[in-house]
Amino acid sequence: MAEQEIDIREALKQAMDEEMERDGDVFILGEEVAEYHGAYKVTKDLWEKYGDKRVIDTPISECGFAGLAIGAALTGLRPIVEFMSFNFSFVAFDQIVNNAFKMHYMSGGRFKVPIVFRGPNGAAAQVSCQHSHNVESIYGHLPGCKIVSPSTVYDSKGLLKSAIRDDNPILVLENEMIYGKKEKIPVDEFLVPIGKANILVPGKDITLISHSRMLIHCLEAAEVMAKKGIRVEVIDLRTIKPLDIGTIAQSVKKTGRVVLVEEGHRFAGICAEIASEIMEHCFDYLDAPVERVCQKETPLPYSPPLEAETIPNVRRILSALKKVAQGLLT
Amino acid sequence: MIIPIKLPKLSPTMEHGVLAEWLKKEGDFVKEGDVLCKITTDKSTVEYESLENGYLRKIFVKAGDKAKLNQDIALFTETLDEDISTYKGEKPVQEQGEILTETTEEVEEKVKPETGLAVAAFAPVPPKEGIRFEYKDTKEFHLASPLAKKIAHEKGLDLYSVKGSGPHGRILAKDLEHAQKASLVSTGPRSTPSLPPGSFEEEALTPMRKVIGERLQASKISIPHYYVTTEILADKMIDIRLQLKAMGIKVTFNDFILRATALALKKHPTINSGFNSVEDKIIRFKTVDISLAVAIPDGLITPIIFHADYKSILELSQESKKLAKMAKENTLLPEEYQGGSFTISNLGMFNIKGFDAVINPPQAAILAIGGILEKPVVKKGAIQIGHTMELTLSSDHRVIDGADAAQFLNTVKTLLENPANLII
Repeated sequence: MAEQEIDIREALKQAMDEEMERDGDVFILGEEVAEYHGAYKVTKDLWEKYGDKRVIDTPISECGFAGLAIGAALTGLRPIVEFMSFNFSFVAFDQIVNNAFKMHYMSGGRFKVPIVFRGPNGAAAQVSCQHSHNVESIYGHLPGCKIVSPSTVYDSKGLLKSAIRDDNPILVLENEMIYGKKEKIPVDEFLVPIGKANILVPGKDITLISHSRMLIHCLEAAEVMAKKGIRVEVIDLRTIKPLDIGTIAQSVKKTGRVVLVEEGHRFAGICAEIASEIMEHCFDYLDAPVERVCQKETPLPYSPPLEAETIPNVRRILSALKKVAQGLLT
Repeated sequence: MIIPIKLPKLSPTMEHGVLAEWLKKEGDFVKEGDVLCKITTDKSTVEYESLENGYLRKIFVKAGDKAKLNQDIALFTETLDEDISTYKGEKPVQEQGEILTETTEEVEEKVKPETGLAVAAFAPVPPKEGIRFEYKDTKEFHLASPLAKKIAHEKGLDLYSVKGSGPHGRILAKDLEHAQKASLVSTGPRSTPSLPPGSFEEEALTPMRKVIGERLQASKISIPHYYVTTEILADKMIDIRLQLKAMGIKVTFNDFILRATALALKKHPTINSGFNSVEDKIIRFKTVDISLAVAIPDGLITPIIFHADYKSILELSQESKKLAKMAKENTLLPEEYQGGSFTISNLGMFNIKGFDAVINPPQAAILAIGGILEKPVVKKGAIQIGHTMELTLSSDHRVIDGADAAQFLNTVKTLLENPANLII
């Protein structure tokens, strides 16, 4: 099978390109997505290929163009809305939550809203507290949407393609810090199913669950533990909603110990939700209390050392792993 | 024409029934002889066959609900379009069934002796409060992970027998590798009782316990019981059972006893008797129908092997297994447990020496079987190791005298000690 080595940026572009070729109803809109190729160059060359009608530069008005795209989706088109950053989606919060998420329900199933909202989520480097939100638990709290958040080149392409084909509003949460991450993936077309987690590293002692960029830290921590003889199973959620509790429960029933990692805040976060699900499904299998490693309870500082301490890092993940491994380590 | 269907009397002691299941639904045409529903009585669950042809128009008592004897449980009509709204329903009327009930009550009243042997009033005293223990509770609360608790529960391990290696001394799954089996006795920490002495709770009698209580109480206080005991050497029986087993034929000790008892009853018809305390007459049963006492959840029941004297040991074996299974599944029909001419109660499997059984009236005798025990026996003037089994016959002295009981037991003993006779 032919392979290509590309980065996540290119994988996302290929996903949109393939889907736009496949389906004339798919189009892209957002700030600077056309002539400038997007703030992070994810839509490179698409305007040249598909023209003004299918790759549309919008004014700086998230509420306006998100609402416009939702209207287009209601008529049967399949818009891809790029937010320059998911922080700006808050300006369009009412459109996203009240129109995109709820229209199918409120119309008694007569309307569907096949729309993709994509863009970078979470902290980058020193963009400070207003530009570093992790929106997964904010949107995930509300019924009516699906949320995916890939960490690999393969999943970025496969999940975005599946999202474009899905008939529901879907948030595709990318991460600025890993746009340049490279991997070999097949040249031939493939899809990644929504709602299926992936075991990145199999292990028998501790289950370590995360998504998106934090998995880089998780994999490093798992390697350190492996040297101490503790086999950590690393699970990439890939899809946050609907949550793949089956894969999680299977792992927890094997290991009896869990560490959950997310870049977002601790209170009412994704980890809180997963921990609760684990308690419901795996209570009798737990040999240690579930540990969470999340962003600390403060707006993200601008100072680099403080920023590094606020967001989960390898040291904090290791300390959580050692805590749940107590009794296993000799 | 509107035909009300009433809760039938399906056992002599039945006063209520629970509609276990409807096999027909409203609107169905039901032929005479079709199974209409299943009804649970105080004894078992019975299929009720329709005595009428008609359309089942209305179900009054839903599956799972309780009904009184003769209460309307359903309405039939001859044609499907008849108006049933005019049917007001009858209250549970005191018809034929009620007369039967009265008869039963009369019987029971007569069974209860009129000589003033009334049941004494026994009630518990209240628990004793404020009693202190002189030793300290050393069985402190131990932290244990949910997984450790689950494993300890599943494997029957004593959580208190290990030290936890987790945080704050929490017992982890791994720590249980050295745990001891949970046992009634242990040398580990001991706890103080959490309840004051004399604490109790009281349970309402289930219909089955009520029937057992009434029947056996009446039996024990009104029938002049006496007991004759013998001991048999079981070595030959053990030996022959092993010989059969070697060829794949499985026969239990109970089957030997059944066969021996059936033959002995045939030889001693005096024992195969009963007492009719309503008419004050001795009953001479003309067939050997052996009731087997079978323990079932929350009670016991006595399914019957009819014509036991005509059956080979293998037939008896199969039939008793089948009946015991049906008893445990609660599927015995009334005719399969009502009646019988003699009862065997076997507690041998519990490794006891022997016991005295209470007569199952109106029968006049019951044979109680103890366990097979290894012990020194005297053979030809020398002490040897042998296996013995104790048999105790409880008899109604109004019907059976001691000499008859002794002779019957001796026949059983001879047969069991020479068991080749039981397999031919």
